[in-house]
Amino acid sequence: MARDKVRTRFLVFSALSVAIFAGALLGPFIVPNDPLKADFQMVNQPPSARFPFGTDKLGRCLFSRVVCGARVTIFSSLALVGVIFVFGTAVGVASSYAGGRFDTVCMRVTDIVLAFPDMVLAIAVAGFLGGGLTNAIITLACVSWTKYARLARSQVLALRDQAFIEAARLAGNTGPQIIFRHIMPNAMGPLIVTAALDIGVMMIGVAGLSFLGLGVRPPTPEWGAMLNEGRTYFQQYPGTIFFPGVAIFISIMVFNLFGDSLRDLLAPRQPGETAKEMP
Amino acid sequence: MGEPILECRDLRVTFRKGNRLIKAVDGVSFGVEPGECYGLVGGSGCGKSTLARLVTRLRDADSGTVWLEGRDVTGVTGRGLRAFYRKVQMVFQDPVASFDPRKKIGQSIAEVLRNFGLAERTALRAAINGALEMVGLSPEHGERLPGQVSGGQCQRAALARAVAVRPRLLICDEVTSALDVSVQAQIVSLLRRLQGELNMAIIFISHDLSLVRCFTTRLGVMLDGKIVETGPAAEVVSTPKHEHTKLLLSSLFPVPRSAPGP
Ligand SMILES: Nc1ncnc2c1ncn2[C@@H]1O[C@H](COP(=O)(O)OP(=O)(O)OP(=O)(O)O)[C@@H](O)[C@H]1O
Ligand SMILES: [Mg+2]
Repeated sequence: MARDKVRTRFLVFSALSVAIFAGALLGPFIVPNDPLKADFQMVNQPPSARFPFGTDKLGRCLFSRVVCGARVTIFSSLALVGVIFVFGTAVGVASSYAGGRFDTVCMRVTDIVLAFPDMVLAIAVAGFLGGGLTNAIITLACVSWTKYARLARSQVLALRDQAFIEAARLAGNTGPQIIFRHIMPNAMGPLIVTAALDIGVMMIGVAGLSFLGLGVRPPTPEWGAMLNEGRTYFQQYPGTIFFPGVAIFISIMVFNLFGDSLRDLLAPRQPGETAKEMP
Repeated sequence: MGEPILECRDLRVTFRKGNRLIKAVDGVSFGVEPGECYGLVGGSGCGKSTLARLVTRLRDADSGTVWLEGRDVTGVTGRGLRAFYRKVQMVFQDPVASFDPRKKIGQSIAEVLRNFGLAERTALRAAINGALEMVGLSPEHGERLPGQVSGGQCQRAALARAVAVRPRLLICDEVTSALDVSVQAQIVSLLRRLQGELNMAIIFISHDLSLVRCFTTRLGVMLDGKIVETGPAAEVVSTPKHEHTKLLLSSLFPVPRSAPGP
């Protein structure tokens, strides 16, 4: 059945995502060399037994830097997605629930933020706030919460007038109880899928800002920053670009495919299907 | 006749549809006696569901007053609203749509019991099963999602949820129109039985006069947001005064095919 295939795909990509998270988490404990230790006798070495990916222009182990860089890139993206998911959803739900002028103001603000190209706005905000990982996260959060607000709002509006919400009122629920017990659980699906697909987008954002020198500062290993460091020597020593590039490529691909399969899994609501999963 | 359990006076609601104003409920007044079954009949779009929403406080009226047991409940909110729903419950037209699609039927019933403090935590399961049993369902139905039972069973479950609080007044808005004919009869006889057992008043809303007249003591005929004729069911049926009632009776009532949906 097509349904089983969807489920298998989802399981495979969840497993791969978890593997990447585990690698990122454990990375610093398993790498062969100190990612920050420069060794000027070992500058720009080709891959060897001691340095599996070779070394960079300061003689640092590229393999260790790529593995340790995963932590910064991936977990800052995750944190970012968490922040914008919660903030955007809260704004969208509050705005659609309150209605009236508050709703209008919220939606105008999201319109304005949405009207700017994300990265351009992010660069502007980062330029204003200055570099550093925290500022990069704040910056990206500022420009990307809007789609959650929009989506949450439209979800709530679609659910609000349904008979089961009226029935929930008759069942003695107060306004907040209806939001948390009935509206949010039914509105979550598309929001969660968006969040899953956003992990990759945010990785590009973090790496992109770092590449531009507006994110993580050297010598901290981070994939985007490593790309920037390797840029000048990339013709002679392609490894300095190749390995972090491949790491970015693979992890973004895995997270995107994970988001995709999650969407497929949740998309067609089949009551019979959900029942099977219940104890 | 004693004090009416519910009384409405001059309820009005106007909707704006494009440039047109639709007077969905246009000065409706009526009363319901304790324990009686009051019928509301009328064609599609005449404002029956809107009136039901006003009476149950699901929507605010533009003007008019609703009294429950002599107390003005027109503006109740919060705590007062919960006390109100302890006495007034409603069952909807589409039984499946009236349950949260993610919650098992038993969970939805449990929610009512918990919100109104009607069952101890430890006795919850027994109370749910009792409510289901009352409408002729088994505990096993409580373990299913609303989409996993038949329409008739789901409507029974909706009735179970509504009468679980032992309301004084139950509003049934076209509770049989989503069901096929044999199931309709079952639901109606179930309603009758529950009304007798629990001694509650019922407002039975339907577009089907033949169904309403065999079931209700008094009825009101609605047309374009107004109650155009009202009286004891037998009387209205035997000696209809208003043209619209005669139309409904002669079952020549032309159901407008292009009528705007609810
Ligand atoms: N939320 C709304 N916004 C705008 N117009 C509405 C709204 N609800 C109802 N109406 C309009 O008010 C009128 C009465 O609607 P209502 O649903 O009360 O009729 P009804 O008698 O219950 O009809 P039916 O038998 O089809 O259920 C209709 O013309 C409908 O289009
Ligand atoms: Mg209706």
